Amino acid sequence: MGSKDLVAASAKTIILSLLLTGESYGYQIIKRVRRVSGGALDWSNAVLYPVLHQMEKDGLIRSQWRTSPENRMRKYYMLTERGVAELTEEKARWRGIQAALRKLLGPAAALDRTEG
Amino acid sequence: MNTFDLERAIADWTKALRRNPVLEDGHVTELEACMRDEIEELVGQGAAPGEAFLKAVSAMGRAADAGQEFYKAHRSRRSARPSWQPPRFIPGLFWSYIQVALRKIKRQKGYSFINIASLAVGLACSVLMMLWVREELGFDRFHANRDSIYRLVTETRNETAVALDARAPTPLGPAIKSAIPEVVDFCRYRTSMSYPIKSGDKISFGDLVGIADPSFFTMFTFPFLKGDPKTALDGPRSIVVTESLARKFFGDEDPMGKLLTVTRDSYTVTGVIRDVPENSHLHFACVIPIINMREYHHVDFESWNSRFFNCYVRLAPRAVPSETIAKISGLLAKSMNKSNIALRIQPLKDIHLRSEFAFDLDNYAQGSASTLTLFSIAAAAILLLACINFMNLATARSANRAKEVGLRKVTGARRSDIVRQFLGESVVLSFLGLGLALLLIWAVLPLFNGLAGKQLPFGRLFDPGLLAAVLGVTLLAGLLAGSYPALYLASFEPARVLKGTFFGGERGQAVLRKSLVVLQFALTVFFVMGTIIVDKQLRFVRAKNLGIDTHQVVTTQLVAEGLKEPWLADSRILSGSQSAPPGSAMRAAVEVSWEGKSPDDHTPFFPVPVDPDYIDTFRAEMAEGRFFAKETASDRTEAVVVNETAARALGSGSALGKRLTVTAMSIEGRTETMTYTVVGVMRDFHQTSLRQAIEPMVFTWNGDQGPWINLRISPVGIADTIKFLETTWKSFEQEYPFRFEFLDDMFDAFYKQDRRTRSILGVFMLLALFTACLGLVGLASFIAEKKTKEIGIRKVLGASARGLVLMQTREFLGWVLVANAVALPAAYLAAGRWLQGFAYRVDPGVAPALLAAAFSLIVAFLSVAYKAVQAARANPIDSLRSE
Repeated sequence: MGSKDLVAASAKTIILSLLLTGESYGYQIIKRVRRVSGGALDWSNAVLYPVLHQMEKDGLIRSQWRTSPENRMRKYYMLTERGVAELTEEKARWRGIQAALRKLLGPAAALDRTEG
Repeated sequence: MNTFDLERAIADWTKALRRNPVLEDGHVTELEACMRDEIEELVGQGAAPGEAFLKAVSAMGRAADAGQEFYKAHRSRRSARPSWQPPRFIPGLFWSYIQVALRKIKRQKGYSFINIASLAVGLACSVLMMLWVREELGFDRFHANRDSIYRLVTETRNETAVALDARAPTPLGPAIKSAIPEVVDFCRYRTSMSYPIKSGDKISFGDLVGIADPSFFTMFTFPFLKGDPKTALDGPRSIVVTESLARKFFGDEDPMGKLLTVTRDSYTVTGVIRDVPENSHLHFACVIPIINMREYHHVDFESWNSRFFNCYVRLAPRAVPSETIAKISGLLAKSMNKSNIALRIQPLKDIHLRSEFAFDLDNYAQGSASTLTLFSIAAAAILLLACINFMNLATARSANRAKEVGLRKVTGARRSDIVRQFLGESVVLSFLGLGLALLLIWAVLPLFNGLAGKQLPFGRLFDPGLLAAVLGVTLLAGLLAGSYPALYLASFEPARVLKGTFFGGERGQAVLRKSLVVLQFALTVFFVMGTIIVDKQLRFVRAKNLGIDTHQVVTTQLVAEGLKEPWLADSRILSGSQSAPPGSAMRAAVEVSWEGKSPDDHTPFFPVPVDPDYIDTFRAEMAEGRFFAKETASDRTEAVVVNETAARALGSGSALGKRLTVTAMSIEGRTETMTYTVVGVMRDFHQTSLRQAIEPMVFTWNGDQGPWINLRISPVGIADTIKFLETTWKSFEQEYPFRFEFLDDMFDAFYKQDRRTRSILGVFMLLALFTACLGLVGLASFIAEKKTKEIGIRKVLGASARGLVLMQTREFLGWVLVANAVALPAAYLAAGRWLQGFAYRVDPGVAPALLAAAFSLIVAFLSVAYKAVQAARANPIDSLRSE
């Protein structure tokens, strides 16, 4: 599977969902994605930052430089109104895909289970 | 682990990121923060800082990859130029490049002159050579079948030598065409210059008459203006003429069907072709069918021993020449029943440049591949010298441009922009040089044509192919000359340059400059040596005692009966001999056998038909015995005289009294066997060019049957004597004009090509010297300029002007000495190889080397000294006050 394409396709939705719970910065996002996916999704900066910047350019999120408690410059990202609206649309799209995939992959998944 | 400096590692890493043009400062800071978070966490989990750093880095991805992703995210259009990159072409900046370049050319007139002049000289040489090479390689390329035409060359072997004859046995062509399927067609060809051509009361001598098989015009596609190439030579008395011959005889009338008399017979014009182009190895004014040779020269078309014509064949498209020639040689061996004769196959395209055969068509200036290569290399070398001048001066004077480079870099120029700017500048200079070079070529082309024996038109330069090559070479020279300076200048660091602590011309530079100057002078010395040695050999050749006296001997062919007697009766004619003159080319070996001759002995003997006056006329000398005596009529049929070389070949003991059986083949192919007794041994003399060793010669008294007469005339009043010869000739013979040659001229003609080599080599030598000196002048003035202060201080402290000049020139002279050390052995080697071509050659000795070395040192000293003296004489107050 061309995982790179899949990552690229899903990254936007994942970031939007994460930011819905509150603002966050790059490394935190990577860590949270890793935790949520149980380690299945392990993004490098090269994946994350371009997506973040693109989303910012599209007006889905905005950013702010702030000094962290450890006195380090950090760029925090937060959702915009458009980001919230986009997330709603994305959710619907992914649900559709999810449903379709479940049907299609169901028996095979079952097979995996029986054999496993 | 303890020594791992995390901060430093991170700093290095961010520095690498910053070099990536995609990443803006914000991006880098963000990435750095992220990285620190990760490292912190890893360390928190118990990892060592070093390990954590490495892990974090690999998780981050390489900086370059990161850049790529960032770029993708930031571009707005797929194919657009990334916004952080300046446009490739900025008109304003381009204008500034041109302005600065022109300003520099104007401000530094001297240096610009040196650069442009030496490039112009180098380019002029190269372009001339390209013109020449193209002409030489273009020979015989206009025939439609050019790639399937070959010439068959006869090769005769004996123990010591291989003799190559451009002619093939007469019956060969028809035999192989019918027996070997790959041979599609054949054509035999030769020329004669001795047929007068007449029509009505118009008569013309010395026109080249081609004699060929009827297939001639289908094999060689000379363009026909009138008539049919397929049938034009079918009739035995048909003739095909060139446009200009037709005009000469018939003016504007239609020549077709008109009659032309060649020798005594009438031929009908059946075709008119365009004049034969210069770049053809076949030259003729008209062509008549080969069958007439049976009558005119008694050629035996059936005899395999007769060789009279060049034989060309056209092979089938897929035939392999090496296989075909094996078959042809096999057929020849069977037909001739001789094992020491074989054939070689020579492609048409090689005929002009790679023919060194006896009895070749010698009616035009044949080319020589090795001469061409030599001169091409020489021209390229001079261009290289010019490029070196440019590199040297540009890097030496780089300090002048340093501030400009610094400023450009500060305002955003990248390395590649600077490289492009300076390469552009050198290319512009190179094209300026080309302009000057074209002017030069236009001026010297007639001179060059004279030297090279060519008629190259200036307009030929504008042929698309050649023009492209010329522009290509110019561009290449510009790029080559500019390459090193451009890279060097582009590497300047703005901070150092702008702070003013930079002076240019550092140590590494100096070494490079020195080696380039050494290379320049090595090439120059090589040329000087070559010229000296070639000259020495040619002087040797001229001064060499040939064993005969070639001066004041007039050679001509007797046409009218009874002319000889009144000539010989005149007191100004000292002696006259009817014989083939030494130096005339028509020689073919004969078979000589004697008692006790070893069956393996295939020594070739060369017959010389003479008469008893031969020895007085040519002032040859006897070593032993006597020459032919007029009173002894039996000498005609019974006596033979040999030269010393032949006497040695006859075995030990005196040759006198030995009986020789001579089997001679006339060129028509008839065999005659005669037996003679040796009555005398003549001292060896040179029969031909000094390239060839003296061969065994057999003199027989039958020269008076040939057409040649040689007259030794009084050294006083030569012009009058010639006039007398001519008036007498005219009273006997009205039809043929009196034509003669001096024997020494005939011998001189052997070295025509060598004299040409000497002249052209000499010109190249001067040009190379000029170019190298220009470079030296430039460098010397640069160094004098740099040392102005030093010289001032030295002067104030009491240095003498002489000492200062010496100080400045010593270094240069050292380089030139090194150049001599490199070039002299190479020149000796090359000259030795050239001299190998002469059987009798001069020993170069050490004198040429000393001469070349002294010459190069003096010239180098003079080029450097002017500036050095100027600098040494300057008032120290002026130099020390500057700045």
